[in-house]
Amino acid sequence: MKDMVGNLGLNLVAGARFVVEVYIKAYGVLGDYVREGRYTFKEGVTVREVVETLVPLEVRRRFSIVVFVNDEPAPESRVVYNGDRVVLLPPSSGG
Amino acid sequence: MIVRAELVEGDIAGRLKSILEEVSKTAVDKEVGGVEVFMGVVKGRVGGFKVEKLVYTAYKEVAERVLERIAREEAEKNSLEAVVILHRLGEVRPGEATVIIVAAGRGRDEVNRATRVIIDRVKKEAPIFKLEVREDGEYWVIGDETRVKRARS
Repeated sequence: MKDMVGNLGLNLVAGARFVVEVYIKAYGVLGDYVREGRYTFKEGVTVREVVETLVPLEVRRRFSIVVFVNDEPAPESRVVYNGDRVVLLPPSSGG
Repeated sequence: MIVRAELVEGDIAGRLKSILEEVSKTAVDKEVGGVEVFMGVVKGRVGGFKVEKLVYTAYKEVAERVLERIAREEAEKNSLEAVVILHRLGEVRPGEATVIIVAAGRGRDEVNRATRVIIDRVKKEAPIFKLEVREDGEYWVIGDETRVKRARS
């Protein structure tokens, strides 16, 4: 699965001149769909594009997803840079 | 003022006595007349099915920060002298404690209100995630009650 998604990421960047390598970790139910690891995207990729690439549409429709980049909350429009650590969070369920 | 929040891999119930002793001491020279404890435990049955365990994971880098912020904000809002939050991580069996909240303040109204708000905020705001392992399968608990069958093990 990780390789498949990684390859998908690389396919998306075909023709692009530069790529960025990003570390991704998804928690809770999102971890069932997104394996922890390094992924490659085209340069200039946004948080929204990362989520749309990695998380299946039906999952995105079902759960609200909060994204952190380098341990800070990140809006959908934030550009992800080489070496960034992106964390995907579903709704919390502590207690 | 005592404000503390921790994510703990091991048992937390065993730490309750020393926490109560610590926060009760705030009454010695402060206007503290009440200490309240909320302790969440793992249910043995859910929807008629036997629960084997809960498995807690957390985005630790942020979760502990969020728990501490909740403790501090509610302590200030309710004029409390102490708020301590301990939350389990890892595997927790039925009957074992999942979370402990201790609040000390002027009277029962303040500490009761604070512990209720704190547990609600912990459930909603802290990036902590709960997998329920039961006899009929594994379920992610989403929010308070929604359960989603695990897509992969």
